[in-house]
Parts: sequence; C-alpha cells; structure tokens
Amino acid sequence: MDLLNNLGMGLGVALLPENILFCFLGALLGTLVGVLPGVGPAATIAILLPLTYALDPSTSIIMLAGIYYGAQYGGSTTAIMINLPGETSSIVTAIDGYRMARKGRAGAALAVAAVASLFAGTVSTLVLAVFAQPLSRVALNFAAPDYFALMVLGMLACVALASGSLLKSVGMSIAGILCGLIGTDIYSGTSRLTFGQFSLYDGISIIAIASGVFGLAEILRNLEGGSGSSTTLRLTGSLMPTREEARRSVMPAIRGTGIGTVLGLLPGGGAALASFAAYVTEKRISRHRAEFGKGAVEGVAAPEAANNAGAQMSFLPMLTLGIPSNPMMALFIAALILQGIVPGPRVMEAQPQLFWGLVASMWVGNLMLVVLNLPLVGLWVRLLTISYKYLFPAILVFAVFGVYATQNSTTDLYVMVVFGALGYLASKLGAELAPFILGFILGPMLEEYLRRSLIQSRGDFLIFLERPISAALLALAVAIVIAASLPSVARRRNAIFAPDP
Amino acid sequence: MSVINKEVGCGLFFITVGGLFLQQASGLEIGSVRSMGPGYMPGVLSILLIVIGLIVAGKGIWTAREVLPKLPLRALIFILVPPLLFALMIGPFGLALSMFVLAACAAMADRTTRLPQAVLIGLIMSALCVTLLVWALGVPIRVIGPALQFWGG
Repeated sequence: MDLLNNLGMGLGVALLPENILFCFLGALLGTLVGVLPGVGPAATIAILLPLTYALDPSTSIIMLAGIYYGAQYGGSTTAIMINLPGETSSIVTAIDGYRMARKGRAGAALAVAAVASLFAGTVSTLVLAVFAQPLSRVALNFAAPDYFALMVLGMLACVALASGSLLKSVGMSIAGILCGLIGTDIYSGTSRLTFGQFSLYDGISIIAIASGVFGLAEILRNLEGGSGSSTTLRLTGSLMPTREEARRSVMPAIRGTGIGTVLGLLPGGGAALASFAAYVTEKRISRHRAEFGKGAVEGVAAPEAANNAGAQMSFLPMLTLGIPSNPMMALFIAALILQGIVPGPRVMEAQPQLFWGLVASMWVGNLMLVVLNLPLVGLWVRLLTISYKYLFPAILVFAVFGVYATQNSTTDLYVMVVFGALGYLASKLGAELAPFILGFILGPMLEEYLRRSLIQSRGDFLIFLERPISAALLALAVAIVIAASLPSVARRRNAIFAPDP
Repeated sequence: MSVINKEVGCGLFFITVGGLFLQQASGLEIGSVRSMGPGYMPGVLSILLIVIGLIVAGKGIWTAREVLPKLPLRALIFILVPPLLFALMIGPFGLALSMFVLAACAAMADRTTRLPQAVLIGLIMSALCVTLLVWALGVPIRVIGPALQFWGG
C-alpha cells in the first residue's frame, strides 16, 4: 500500500492550487506554441523553459511537464489539420488523421486522438508509478561501469532509432559529446576545448544550444519553403465521433497503449518507435485494412495512444536513472539541474514530493489537456492560419529573450547563433539533431563514468564485461545497432511511410 | 555534376568539426587508459569523428546522387545577424531598442515583408517584451540602457 500512499501524496502536491494553475498554464502555453506551424515540442520547451526558473522545483517541473504534453498535443493537431507533424512521433498520425480531416471528420479525429491519449496517459502513469520504485532500487546498486554501459545503450538506441543514416547519426552524437566536454575538466581542473573563450570555462548552456539547434535552425528550415503553401482545412463536422468511429477506436487505443508502454521504456526516443509499431500492428490485424491510408480512425487512435504512453514512459529512465531518452527529456534534466536537483535514483528518496507530485500531475495534465483542447479546437485551428511571416519574428524574439534572460549573458546569444547555423547546416546535409543533443547532455557523464571505471579496474576494459549488469546492457546496445543496420529492418522502416498497403 | 554532393558535404562537415576539436585538444594532457587526462576523450572522439567524416564523404563520392543543397542567403543573414546585434546593443541601449532592432530586422527575412510592416512588428514585439516580461513578470533587465539615458533624461 506504499504505492497508494505515495500516489496520494503526489496527488496532494499536484492538486495544490498553485500547481494546478501552473500545470494549466504550461499545458495552455505548450499547446499554443506547439500548435504554431513549424514549432516542434523540443523548440517549444527550449523557448518556454526560462519561464519556469522563478518557480520552486516541484512547481517548475510540473509546469514544464504541462508544456511537454501541450506541445505534443499541439504537434498532433497540426499533423491532423495541415498534414504537418510536429515531431516524428506524430508522423503516422498525419497519414490517416489528415485524410480523415479532408473527408470532413477533422473534429472526430482530434477528439479520438485526445481521448486515446488520455486513456494511454492514465494507464502509463500507473505503470510508471508501479515500476519507478523497484527500478530506482536496482539503480542504487549501479556502479560506474553499469552507468557507462547504460549511457552507451541510451545513446546507441537513440542513434539507431533516428531516421536517416546510421553513420551520420553516430557522427552527430560524437559531435554532441565533444561539445558537452567544453569547459573545465573535473578531474584536473584544466579548462579545455574553449576555443580561447574565457566565458566558456563553465561549459556551454544547454538552453542556448537547444534554442539554436531547435529554435533558430527550425525557423531557417521553415523560411526556405517560401510562402506557406499549406492549405489549412476548415473545421467541419461535429467533434463527437460517430458510434461506429468510437467503437472502432477502442481496441486500437488499448493495443496502442500496451505497445507504447513497453516500447517507451527503451532508452532512445520510445514515443516515435511506439507510434510506428502501433500503426503497423493495426494495419496488419484490422478488419478495415483497406481503409488505412485513406482515413481509418484506427490509424489515429492507435499511434496517438502509443506515442502518449511512450512519451510518458520516457520519464521513467529520466527520473530513476538520470538518463534522457529524447531531446525533451534532456531539457528536463537541464531544468532539474538548474533547480539544484541531480536526476537519478536518489531523487525519489530525497525529493518524494517532487517525484510523486510530477507523476500525479502527469495524469492531471493529461486530463486538463482534453478539457482544455476539445472546446478550444476552433481557436487552435484559427492559429494555424496565421501567416508564418508574422510568427517567426515572435519566435526569434522569445528565443533570444529567454536565452539572454537566463544568465544575462551575451556569450549565450553567440552560442545560440553559432549552433543555430551549424544545426541548420547539419540538417541540410541530412544529419539528425536529436543524437547531437543527447550526446551533449550525456557526454560529460559518459566520460566521467568511463574514467572512474577504468581507474577502478586499473585500465582493464574487461570490467565492463565482468559485471553482469553492464555486460547485459552493452550486449543489448550491440543488438540494437546490429538490428537497425540490417537491410530488411531498414526497408520495413521506410515501408511504414508508404500510404498505400 | 560536381564532386561535392550532399554526402560529401556532410563528411566534410564532420571532418571540419573533428579537426577543430582535435586542434583544441592538442595541447591537453592525454594520460593513459588507467588514468585518463583531460585530453584523452576529446582526442579519441575527434579522431573518430574525422574517420566517420572520411567514410561518409568517401561513400558519397561513389554512390550519392543528391546535390549540395542551396543555402537561403537572405534568411540566413536576417535570422542570424539580428541576435548578434541584440547581443551588442543590450548593454548600452537597453531592452526596448535592442528588441525593436531584433524583431524589425528579423521580420525582413521574409521576402514579402515590406519595411513599414517590419517596423510595426518591431514596435509591437518590443512593447510586448517590455510590458509582459519585464513589467508584469519582473525579469530584471534594463529597459533603457545607459547610452540612451544620457540624453533621454
């Protein structure tokens, strides 16, 4: 009954008027920014992160979580309404969601997506609550080699799951690690890789990098498209799904939740993989197989449930192990560190209010999104019609203001511009940015654990294979990479995008 | 068709980044596997990055077909330069003017935006930042910088 007590305490924290308010504000702002064309969840979080500094740790992390769900929800809305997925995890939603919208069932598609997400969120929050304690207890036994292996696994999984060339993703994650190592070496106290800049002795600010790589680079990518040619659909048809649509969504939503909950545990962008897997599963077993790609409601319910469950589950490795599984979680870690909390197995013991408050607020936040979004769908849709030429100056202004206001440092602004330019260039050259950010966050820890392990073992690399935990994790990492580089898997991954069966 | 296609470009990008970091790491103590110095990881990783760059570029020369993408010069200039202007101006001139310059210049990145529109966008964004973020939320940033106070009052 420990679990119930903890959840009760969490609900107590999450339902404090102040926390409800900020959870609501976060969800609202997240949806607002996330729904704007061309602003993905990572950019949304990076831009809005500075707003949470002044709050106390639990409230700020609850608000940030609200922003996260809001941004994701906004991404699904754009996927359905204008065929513009906010991120990889809603790509498959766009396939059938957009076609439903073209048939005049936009309202129903949005409603199904919202309710399926809420259901998935509720289930995965419970699963998270159940598994968090045992997992963090296991993690307390982790020694340096195990952590090193875990980070290698997280990084390689992210590389393997990123779309595009495997080799380029590895390159980007190495570049990320190198950028993460800029600053002062903790063992010797020497400053390194600072390019002669005194102001880089403390390392590079994650907010500056994320705003550059996601904010600026995204604006640049959007501007090259010329005048926004996306045709926005009018919201027609009732919000209520027909009885037939509702009936057909139930089982896919449940299966999607299951798939999302399991795959979301994988370090390395579980939400995207989960939504693909859920979509493919439904496409294979559905009785309405022929409708897939032409506006099948199952094709909305299953991936939306799966990506929400996956997104929720990605909090588990972040909170219990301190490992981010996607760029958004990397930003959460940065936010926690700024609040003076080091994410890892000790958070649950040392900060029970924060931990359980966050878990409970996930559920509150999901509920709030449904309540908030269904009546406001009309407003969000109208936001989509704002011309990008008025939006991007505002996005840039907030990014610049946020980066500058964090530390009143102009260096951070230069860093943002440099990484904005490099990030844009890299994405033009077909390299993924998510592995870069993960490398940046994990880099310093990776090096520290590697050095610590090798000091313990006196330079013997076998230490990573002698310990069962690290050996198993490394074996898993190798398996993932081998699986991802198999041609048949790569072909299947591409086949998912093909609209016709 | 040029030898420098998208893949080769990406390889060169990795080689350049790796080279820069290798040059930065060159003066650092490397140490041994048993006790790594500050230069060990940066050295190993930047060499690895260069090797990956070489492979990507090498594969690209033989197999790739995609040409090097064209860079949108106008957008690049009007998006990347204004934040630098802001960084230079925020100290002496304060938030109000710097924000105006940032937003107005950035707005010009879109080809269809006319100058009066850009000025209007600049004024609105600047006013929003000052009222909402500084006055309402209390972010401690000077609105009018010392250089303007001299003759402004």
